[in-house]
Amino acid sequence: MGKQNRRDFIKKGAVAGGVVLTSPIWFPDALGFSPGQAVAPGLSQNGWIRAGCPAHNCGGRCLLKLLVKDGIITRIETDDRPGDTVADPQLRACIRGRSYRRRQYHTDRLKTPLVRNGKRGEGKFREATWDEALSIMAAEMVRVRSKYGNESIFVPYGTGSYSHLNGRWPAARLMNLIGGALEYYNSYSWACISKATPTVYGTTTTGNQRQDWLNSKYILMWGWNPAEMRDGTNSEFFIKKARENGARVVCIDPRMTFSAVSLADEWISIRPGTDTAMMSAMAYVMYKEKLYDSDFVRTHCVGFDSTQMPKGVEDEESYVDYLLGKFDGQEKSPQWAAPITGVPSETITRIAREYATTKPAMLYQGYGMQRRAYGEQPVRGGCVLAAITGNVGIHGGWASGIAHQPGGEPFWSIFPTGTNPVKAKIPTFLWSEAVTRGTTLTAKEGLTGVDKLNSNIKFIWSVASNILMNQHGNVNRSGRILENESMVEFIVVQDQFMTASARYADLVLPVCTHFETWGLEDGWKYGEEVILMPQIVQPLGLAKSDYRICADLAARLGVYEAFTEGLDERGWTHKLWDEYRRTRFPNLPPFEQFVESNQGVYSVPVSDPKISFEEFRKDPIKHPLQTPSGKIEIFSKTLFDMGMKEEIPAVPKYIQEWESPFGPEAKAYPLQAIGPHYMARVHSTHDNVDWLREAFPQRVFINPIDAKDRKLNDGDRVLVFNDRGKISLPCRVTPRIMPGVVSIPQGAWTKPGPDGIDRNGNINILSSERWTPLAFGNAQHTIMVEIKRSKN
Amino acid sequence: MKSSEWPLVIFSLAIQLSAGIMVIYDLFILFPMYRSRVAFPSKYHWILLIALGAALVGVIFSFLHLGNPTNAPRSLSNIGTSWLSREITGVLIYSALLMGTTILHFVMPSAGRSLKWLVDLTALTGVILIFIMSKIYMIPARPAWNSVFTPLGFYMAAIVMGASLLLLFQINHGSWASQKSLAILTISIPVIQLAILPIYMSWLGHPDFAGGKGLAILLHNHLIAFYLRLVLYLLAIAFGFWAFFTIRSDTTQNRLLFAPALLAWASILAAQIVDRLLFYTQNISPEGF
Amino acid sequence: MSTFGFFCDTSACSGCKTCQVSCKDKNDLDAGIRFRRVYEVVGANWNKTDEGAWEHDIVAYNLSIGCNHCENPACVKACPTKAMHAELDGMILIDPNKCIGCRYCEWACPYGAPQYNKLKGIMQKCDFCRDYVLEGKPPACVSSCPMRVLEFGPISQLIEKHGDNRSVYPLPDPSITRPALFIRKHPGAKLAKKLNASIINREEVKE
Repeated sequence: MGKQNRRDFIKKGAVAGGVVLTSPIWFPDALGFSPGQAVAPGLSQNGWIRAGCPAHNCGGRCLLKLLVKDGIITRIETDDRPGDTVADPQLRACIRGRSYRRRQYHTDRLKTPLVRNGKRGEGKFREATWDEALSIMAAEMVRVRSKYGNESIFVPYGTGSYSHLNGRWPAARLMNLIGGALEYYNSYSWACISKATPTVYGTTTTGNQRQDWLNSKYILMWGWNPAEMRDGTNSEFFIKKARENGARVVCIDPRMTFSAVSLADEWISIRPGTDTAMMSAMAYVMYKEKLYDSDFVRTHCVGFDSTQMPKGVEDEESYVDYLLGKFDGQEKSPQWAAPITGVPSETITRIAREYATTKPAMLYQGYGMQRRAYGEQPVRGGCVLAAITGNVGIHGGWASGIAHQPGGEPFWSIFPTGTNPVKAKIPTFLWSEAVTRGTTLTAKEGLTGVDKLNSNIKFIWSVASNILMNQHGNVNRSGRILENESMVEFIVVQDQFMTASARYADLVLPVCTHFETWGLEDGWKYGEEVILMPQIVQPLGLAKSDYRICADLAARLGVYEAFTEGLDERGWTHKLWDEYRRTRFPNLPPFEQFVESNQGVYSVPVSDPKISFEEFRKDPIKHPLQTPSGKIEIFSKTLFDMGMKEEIPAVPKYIQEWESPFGPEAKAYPLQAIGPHYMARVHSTHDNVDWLREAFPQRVFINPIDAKDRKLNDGDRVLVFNDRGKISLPCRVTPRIMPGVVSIPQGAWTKPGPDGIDRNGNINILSSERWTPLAFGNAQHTIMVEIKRSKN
Repeated sequence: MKSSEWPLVIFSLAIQLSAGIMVIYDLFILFPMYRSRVAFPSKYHWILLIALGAALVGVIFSFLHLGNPTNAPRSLSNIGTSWLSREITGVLIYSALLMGTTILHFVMPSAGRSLKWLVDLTALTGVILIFIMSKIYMIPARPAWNSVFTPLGFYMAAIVMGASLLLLFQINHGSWASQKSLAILTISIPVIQLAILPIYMSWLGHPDFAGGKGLAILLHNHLIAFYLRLVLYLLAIAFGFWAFFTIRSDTTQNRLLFAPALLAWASILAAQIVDRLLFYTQNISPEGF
Repeated sequence: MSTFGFFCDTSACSGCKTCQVSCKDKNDLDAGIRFRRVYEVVGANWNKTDEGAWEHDIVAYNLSIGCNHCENPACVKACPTKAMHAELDGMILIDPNKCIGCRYCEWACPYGAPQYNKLKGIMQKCDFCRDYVLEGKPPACVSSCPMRVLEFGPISQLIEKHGDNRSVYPLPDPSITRPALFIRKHPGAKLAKKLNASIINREEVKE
């Protein structure tokens, strides 16, 4: 750049920005990239290539445009298709996708297989060849299988990769070809909401296509933060458009989230874990003031009041009985709810009136409040509010619940994994129980398929997952379990970085990024598109795709042909593409033509959005729901029959959590800690990306009132602790969180110091392994902590 | 005290020290002699050498402040609008004049009247230079700098550093009267600085000016330095008085003056360094941009 | 005389900083250098009610700011080397061959636009993605915005569409430099001053 003359300067223009890459952190040269490596066949060597943004289980599925030069990605842009309409909006990537080069070319990328040569968890490894690594893995798998059976092998929940060919699905396919592995059900994301929604509606397809949001006049974003978690690419944009259309938007959340700031007319701060109390009080107001849709309740619901109780339980507690306190002597009035929720009673009354009288209205539930002690309750409570206000099955309304998209939701992954010969299934959150006491688990702990397990988990094959030592409740406990080599006898981790979980592996296998292999993606919860993820650069070092690793292992286990069906990654992508053509998108162009076109995305405009329950709404007799009664079950007899009414009531109730500001535990640990999704990460992915750390450093967010009590200034390093552990991180003093609550964004990588204190701020050091009563789901947000200033 | 502005602290203090020496030398030493038609004082060569040395230190440190010093000559190219460009030009002119004056002092000590004019000119250039220096900081984007306190502070720093240093160097040469007047300056400037401080602080803390942030930075982040500066001012005043009362018409007693004059000068220099460091902490956009 | 400008709808900016990072990617900027910054403005009082609930009057919004390519640019005036200069089309650019890294433009700019590159010893800043603009494309930040709150265009066009408002609390008085930055005010902005709102994410926008 030294001898540039003025004309060049003007011509090139971007001189101020035309900077030579300087950082040693990520410059591709430092990684041993040799320029000139060819990009994937069918694509030009240099130039812009469109590809799906690497999907690490954020809620978005976006399109990237990548400038490739000499085999290196040199710039990333996003969807620039002309138009950008509501029916077919651009799939604009967020900060995470746009900073991807810093992940792709991070010097910490794993480049070679690693074999442990210290104590487990110590982090000492030696490099190995693929041949050695896979031989070890195959031998261990065969040994464990013959000693303990296939039930002892577990491929844990992991959402680090979603491209059909990268991720855990190839591993599942391979296991199913060699006798199967212990299966899980449920997720860390949606355990309660996916279980509780059908108890009301008989289905999880309770949503409307998002373009319908523009028909709404009132939107309650209840613990829902689409702008930060990206609950579907463009969800925040649709709410913005709904607002421009005249909708009033109210956000109910312990934090004034990105969404509250940018989308809401009002933010109501609510104490975590008390949502059902506010919902009950709102229903109370609606009942008392006769604001609810009594016609709809009469014709479409059961269990609202004593007149419509199911057979055999006519004298049990109906929803109105609960609201009026007929059984427990406590009216669920706004005055009752105010000190519990922290929301003034006038506000509760006002919101109840607004929601009940503004038609049509949406109550959109976020997922954070169902990752709590009794996470099933707010799910059912929200559904009941939607039902009694008659917002079900109408345009602009919203039935609440998990709200999958009607008319066919995205496939997530259709890579064929086959059938698991092992019938036993555990709730995914209980894997650590299956490690420590698997053979004692019963249906009471959610075991299904078998009465009991023949073995504890003895072999863990963790693919694209950081559950083991980062994302599960009570990490210190996980560490104690995993470092005991007599419990789990062999641990394999496949990842792109040395995560906290990889550190506890016996064998670490380096996986390429999505840009280094082929794949597909098609939306998460919403979206009418399929996005191609072509291979655009060569894998780093010896890294391979998850599919290739599994195929190579399959060869050692004698099932190569059955596993690969003679196809490589591109071949499978082609095959799956054809599957999309056959099923979801008949007009999808042929694969080769689409690859050649460098279009990246195929989308179907939605100008006439589908809504759920339209037919049920019109004629509930002719089109009954899949519930036992065929109607909306405000009172669930199924739940009643479980006979656990304290923890699994038949109508949605507020239940004080097992760690609560109202319990004795609050004496030592008076602050509620929540772990929301963070803009800088997708769960634990991206935590090591410097541009994201710069934009959003890891911190604990605390209200000025709580900070003052503890003599904390903004930016001070603090110790957050409870009986389960200690973390040390800086604090952000901000009025954007309510007093009594602190937020520690989830997903920071566990980095314990010699004193056992985690210095990176992983909230799961503090969270608990206790599960919810009905869904056996994670209740990781239900924790109490204390904070004090920290020296280091 | 941590500061990324050390080169600027040293640069600005060195230039102001140099100009202060020249002004004091001109007004309080040369002028009375000139009027009383005393032969030109060759014994004061050292003063000029010190002033010149300070200016050169200033120039060197101004380079250390730059990220890309190889382009430094370009900094003269925007005299039209840039006060910084003017400052650098001014520093060069001042240094050249000072160097010329010094050389003439040594080469033609008998030049007499013309030398006096040259010293006058150099001192005047110094006075103008300090004004230019202060204009650099008087910009709307830095409201805590954008006031009369900036030139006032720079001029007082120049005068008090010059006066106290010359008091020290005059021990064996100066007249009773000039010693007394330099001591008075050494005492009175810190007194004025102390007196102005509350006014300055209430201005800094006024929400309409620096948004109150300037004062907060001073009292929250730099409280120790703030108190240190107060102590140093008080010490300077105390040592100044000690010096003042040590001055005798009997010049054989002048050696008694050495200790208080040295202590006064040292505390004044230290006070000005802390003062200048604190000045640079006011490099704030009150809104936070 | 600036002919182009940015528009920022502060009423709908979520603060996601996709603009900041898309800019860093376009310009290959290490952490610590931010051509575009997102400032978080917050002011509030919290009170416990007699019922034991909490009340607040919070105002919060975000300001995404790059370089405003001012019509009366303080940086250009301040620059001793003329490295910082206005092009005929009004864009304010830095000639890296002339810059001495004195950082005076950094002081002079009321918006924090000029950024010091330690490794190179010179100043850098937003150039409107001049190469893109000459190709007829919008700057990287504008086309990146998931909320579609950023716009770029000729000043006359932006004024016609959004009005000639160049400030929102706590941006400095636009008469100082005449920024080519047009703002839709967040509805809470009118209460911000009374609440003594301030930028609370300093560690995110400054080194």
